[in-house]
Amino acid sequence: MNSLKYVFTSIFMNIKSFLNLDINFFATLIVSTVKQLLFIVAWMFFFNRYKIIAGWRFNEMLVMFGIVSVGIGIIEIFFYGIRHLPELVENNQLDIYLVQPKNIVLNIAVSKTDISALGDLTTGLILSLFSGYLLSSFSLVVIFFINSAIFIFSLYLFLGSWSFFLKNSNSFIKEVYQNTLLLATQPNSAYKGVIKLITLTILPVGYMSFFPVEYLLSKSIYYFIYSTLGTTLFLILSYGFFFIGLKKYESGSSFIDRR
Amino acid sequence: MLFKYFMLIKNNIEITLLYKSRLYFRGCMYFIVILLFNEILSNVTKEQRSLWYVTATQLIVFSASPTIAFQISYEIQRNQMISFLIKPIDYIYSKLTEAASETLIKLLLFFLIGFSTTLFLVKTNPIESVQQILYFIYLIISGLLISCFINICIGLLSFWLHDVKSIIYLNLTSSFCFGGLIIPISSYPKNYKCFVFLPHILGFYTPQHTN
Repeated sequence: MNSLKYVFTSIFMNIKSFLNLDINFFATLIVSTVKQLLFIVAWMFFFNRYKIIAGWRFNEMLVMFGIVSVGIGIIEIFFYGIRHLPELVENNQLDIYLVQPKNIVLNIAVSKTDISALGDLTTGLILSLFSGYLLSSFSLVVIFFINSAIFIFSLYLFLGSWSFFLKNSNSFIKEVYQNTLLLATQPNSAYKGVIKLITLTILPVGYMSFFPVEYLLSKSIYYFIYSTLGTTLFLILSYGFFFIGLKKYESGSSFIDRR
Repeated sequence: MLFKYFMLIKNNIEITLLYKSRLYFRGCMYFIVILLFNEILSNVTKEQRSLWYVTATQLIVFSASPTIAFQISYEIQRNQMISFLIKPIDYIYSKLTEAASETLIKLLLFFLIGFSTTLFLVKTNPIESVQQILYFIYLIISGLLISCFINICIGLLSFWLHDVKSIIYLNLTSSFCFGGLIIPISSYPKNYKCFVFLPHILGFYTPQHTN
């Protein structure tokens, strides 16, 4: 109960401090919305030309983009601190989180907020709405939004934990993250062989973007189970990986403020 | 005067080569992306040669160094830039040399991986003349330099803006969408082709268009 209260207070404080930056806030909000819409414009041209890719039409692309964007939006608004994990490890600044009697992962995650991610969240909702799936299968799509948010959290945690093993890896991890999202936001239905194996094992984005859309298309319960089970497993693995990495952490004895 | 910057490039190349595992991983990611596009394209078109187009555009994207914008932004906001001001080195030049050396190594590595992988998958050689290769090399270097300058400028915006992250991603996304990274610009509607003449997009579009 105390942890929950702490999470909400931290999020509230972060949002309050971000809202003080009026012009910056609106500028970043607009830019992040435009950024998402640009991708869809390009895919629209693609689907205008090719119509269908391995069973997926433009509507399936929209709902997939929507699910991924909402997941990113939720995590970056409320748990943006987790994205800064590589930076904290690289600069030996984890100490302040280690000495507090709170869940360390959650403590890091709620330490920062990025309100500009509201752009991702709203774009995601709009895209899902336009796809038609949000209206026709509302509760299912909402479940997949939550699933996607958990997946994105796990992904940040998993990739961020690499910094315990690789020195000066902050920008490298950012690159890997970008490439992972690239894998997630292509028409997953076209993946076969090695690529399919990769998206289900090493960089398991398929649980966030492939299985939910396939479930919405075919209503086969197996896809739903694969998606939720895969995401849960990935979360557990990421947590485990983080704690293994934490044993390698070298304290810098520096106590910075959490701004 | 310029000698110190050449030495900086040499040092940065040595540092980049020290982190071999990262280079291998980046190489693997590039390989995966080529395979990924091969599978998408083979689903929609029988014209296998379009994979060369994707290989060329992805070669530029993977070689460019957008992280330089993040780095500059971080150094400005955390006041770490001060350590450069007392050195007899220009901050912008030092960042440019850092990005250039990293880009050079990545370009060579990805070129080898991309060329061999695509040749294996497509089985047709896109090179028709020596001039074509020279033209491609010249344009690819120009494109990467443009991309580098734009990223430095975005990073420097941190003097005025609290958060440049969205601008970095907007630049990346617009390059992706209007630089022909998903589908060739030739297949875009007429009205949208005018975007190609924006500098950051031109850097992507022109080099691969020589193929």
